[in-house]
Amino acid sequence: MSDCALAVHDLSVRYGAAATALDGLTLEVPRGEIVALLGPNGAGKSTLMRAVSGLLPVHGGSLTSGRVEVLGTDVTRLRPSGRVRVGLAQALEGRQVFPELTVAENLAAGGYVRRYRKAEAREVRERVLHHFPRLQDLMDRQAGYLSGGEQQMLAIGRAMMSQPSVLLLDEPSLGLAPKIVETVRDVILDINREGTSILLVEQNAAMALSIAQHGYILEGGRVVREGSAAELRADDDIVSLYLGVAPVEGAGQHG
Amino acid sequence: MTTTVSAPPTGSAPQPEVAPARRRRVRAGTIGLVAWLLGMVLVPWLGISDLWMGVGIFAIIAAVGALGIQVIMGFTGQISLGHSAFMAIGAYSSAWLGVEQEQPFWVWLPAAALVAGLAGALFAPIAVRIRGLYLAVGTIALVFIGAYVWETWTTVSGGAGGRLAAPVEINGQDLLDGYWSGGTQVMTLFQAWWYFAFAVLLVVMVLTWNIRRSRLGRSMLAVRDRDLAAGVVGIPVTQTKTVAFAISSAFAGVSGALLTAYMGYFTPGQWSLMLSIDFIAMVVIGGLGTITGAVLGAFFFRAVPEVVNWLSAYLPGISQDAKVDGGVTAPLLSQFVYGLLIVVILIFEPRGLNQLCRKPFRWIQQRREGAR
Amino acid sequence: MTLFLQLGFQGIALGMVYALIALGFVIMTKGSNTFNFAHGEFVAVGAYVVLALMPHLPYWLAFLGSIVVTVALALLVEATLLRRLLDKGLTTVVLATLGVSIMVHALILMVWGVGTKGSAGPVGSGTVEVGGVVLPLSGIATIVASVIVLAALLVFFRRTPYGLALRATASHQEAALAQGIDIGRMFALSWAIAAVLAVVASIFLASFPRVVSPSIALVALAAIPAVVIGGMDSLIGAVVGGLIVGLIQVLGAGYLADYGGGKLHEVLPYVLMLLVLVVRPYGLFGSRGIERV
Repeated sequence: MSDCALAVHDLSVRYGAAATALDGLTLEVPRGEIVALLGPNGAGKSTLMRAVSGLLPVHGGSLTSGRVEVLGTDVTRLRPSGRVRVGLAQALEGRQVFPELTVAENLAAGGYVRRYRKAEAREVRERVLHHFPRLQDLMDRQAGYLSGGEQQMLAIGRAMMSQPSVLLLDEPSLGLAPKIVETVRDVILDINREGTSILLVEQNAAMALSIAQHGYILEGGRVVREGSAAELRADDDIVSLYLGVAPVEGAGQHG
Repeated sequence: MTTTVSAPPTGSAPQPEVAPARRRRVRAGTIGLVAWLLGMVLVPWLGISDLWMGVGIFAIIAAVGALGIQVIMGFTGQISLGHSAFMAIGAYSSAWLGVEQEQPFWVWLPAAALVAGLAGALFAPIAVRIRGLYLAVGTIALVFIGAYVWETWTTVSGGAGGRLAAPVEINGQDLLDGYWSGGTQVMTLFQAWWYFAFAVLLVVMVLTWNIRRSRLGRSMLAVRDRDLAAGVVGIPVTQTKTVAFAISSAFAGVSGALLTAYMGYFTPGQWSLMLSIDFIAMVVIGGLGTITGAVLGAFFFRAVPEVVNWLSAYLPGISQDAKVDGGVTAPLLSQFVYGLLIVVILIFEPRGLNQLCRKPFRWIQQRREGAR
Repeated sequence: MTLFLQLGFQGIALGMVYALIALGFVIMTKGSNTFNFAHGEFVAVGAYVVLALMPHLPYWLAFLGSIVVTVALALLVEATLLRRLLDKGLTTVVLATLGVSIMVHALILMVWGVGTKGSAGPVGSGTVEVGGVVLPLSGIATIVASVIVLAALLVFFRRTPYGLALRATASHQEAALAQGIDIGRMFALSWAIAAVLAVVASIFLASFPRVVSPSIALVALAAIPAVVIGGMDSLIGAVVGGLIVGLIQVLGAGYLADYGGGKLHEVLPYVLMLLVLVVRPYGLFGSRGIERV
């Protein structure tokens, strides 16, 4: 297990008294890899993300069973802040920047748990901005006024400010133009090459499987299929079910 | 107005909730309602002390106002802290009509509803523009502006010293003297007033129940549950809120007129923010959105201070009179307990007394079903 | 002209006090998504504790002692009550803070009684004459102290990690959580800051010529129009609103004493509040987002 950056074991989640959203889900992200998590709307992808990052209670959900480990540390009982400290960071679905704060302040907030000294903060920021040259010129701009693509860059950059070992990306291509999706894809690859393991939730299966080493397919809160990205790409069912989705289209809600 | 005239109440319970096990609910509710009505009719003859009869009458009058808050807050979801201002409007218009113009109660009581309702409708254009927290805080202005007007407009209010209220006269007899027939007193002041206030409460309850069942009522709930989206699905949001404010204020006016008529004399100082808070506490603690909840809350919060007062006589270290330099007095203790009860009930049963009271019944029902 | 300057100065001094109280309201509203109707009573507690400690301690220690007590009270209310009720809806939270307000008021009366006490201000009743305008020392102290507090607050919000975390929480709670910001701690922090501001405001609200009395909580409620006029989620709005209300009250008391029974100045802030709401339902500087809690 400890060679896994992220290990999720037998995870079940419920929202209130409603039906089970996740049902005994097990999944692993090996160190240094990108793992794609695919599935239709309401399959439980976002729920899994919340369960991993500790944001479930915000949405009225609760864990009924299971364990989440980050770098071999059991984080199941930790609050979100504790999980970030262990080395987990999440770029939320729909970007969710702090609209009233400037780009610089958004980034600084991402490094909050690390308690950087001034020089240290600058250094980390330089390193993060290296992936997002566009943000460099926008530092004093209010994040709410950025374009969708810029906000997505900012959301990923903000998550990177805590220098995570594991990065959760929830629908980073959502609502972006194909050209920008390309840029986002390249950034994800870049970040991964520098050693960050990534769990990538995507509607855009083509994009996700083009950079992932491994993939899981979720339906009704369970893993219905798992395999190497190459295997999944070669599977006719999956191609017809998920790869047909145009990159720009997936603007729906996720359960 | 969109009010559709609905069928007259057929004696089933005023339960706005529609439960799956509807028939059984309605039957249980009917029994409850009949028992309550019977109890209310019998109470004046049970030899209850004047003090507690007085508390009961205050509670009945408060229930009328609480139903008004239920319409605006419970049904329509708009928090208003301005209720006491509309009560005052009802009180002053009834007093002016009943004393200066010497009109009988069947003129001044509906007039109080009308004037206060109009005032509510006049305020509505402002209120419908404001939402949520801004509305809750903004309506405080009504209380303070009202307080200023009553204190300054002395020809109507009598200034800080207060003024006489409209008398309730039936067959030429002031109810505050009890009811007499052929030289003997048939009913005491408390018995007579109990029935009078109860009759008014019944009328307001039936009205509220009909509003709740009408199309207007459904519009109100739609506005409450999804304010912004309600307009999209074809519900006239502004109109619904305006009518709700008018109805709520009209009930407040009736409650204010009754309250002052019962007290006989009133001052500008009593239309305070605290009075508005009282009513919000009644409906939230009683149970938001239900008629039973409003009545239950009114009785609860009118009884609590008296119960504490009564208990404090048995507690050591509590004096009965206010003191300039501190010390635990009975009025202060009851004030404290009042606040404490609000907080405690909100923490442990945020859906209110209405739900709390049903728990034992539900338990019995479950056991009976289990036995079958 | 002299009268106008004198009144204007007093108006600004009173306005700064309202601004501090209004800031407390706004910081709590932004930081923890609640409107704390008990804040007026926190101001009262602040003044009474300073007054109680003054005979035994140097003034600055009495002041610090009051901050400790008031902050503790605020944190107690926040932790035991507000945090549990946050997801129960606006009505519940509003009523809960009203309930707390009633309790605290009763407690104050039990401990200190209904009578008026002395002044809790840091300076006495002296005056300074500047170019023919007589300025009371208490007014000068109020303005100087408030400006210092406002500057400190600005530095806190702009330059410190906690300030940034608070602003991030106010801006987007879930995103703040995802960055590892402990939301609960931020709620507590915002209440603590509001309590500190309440104590600072309280000593000046109870400065010469005013004294400490149970009605001080009601006086503090006059900051509510300031909050609404400025906008419930705007720090700048709170300061501007506070100054507007202070100036209206003092200038109104000076110039309108012969009209409307001489109490017109007490009601003007509320009239203005309604007028502002008609034109701008979110106050002068507020944003739409705050309408639902």
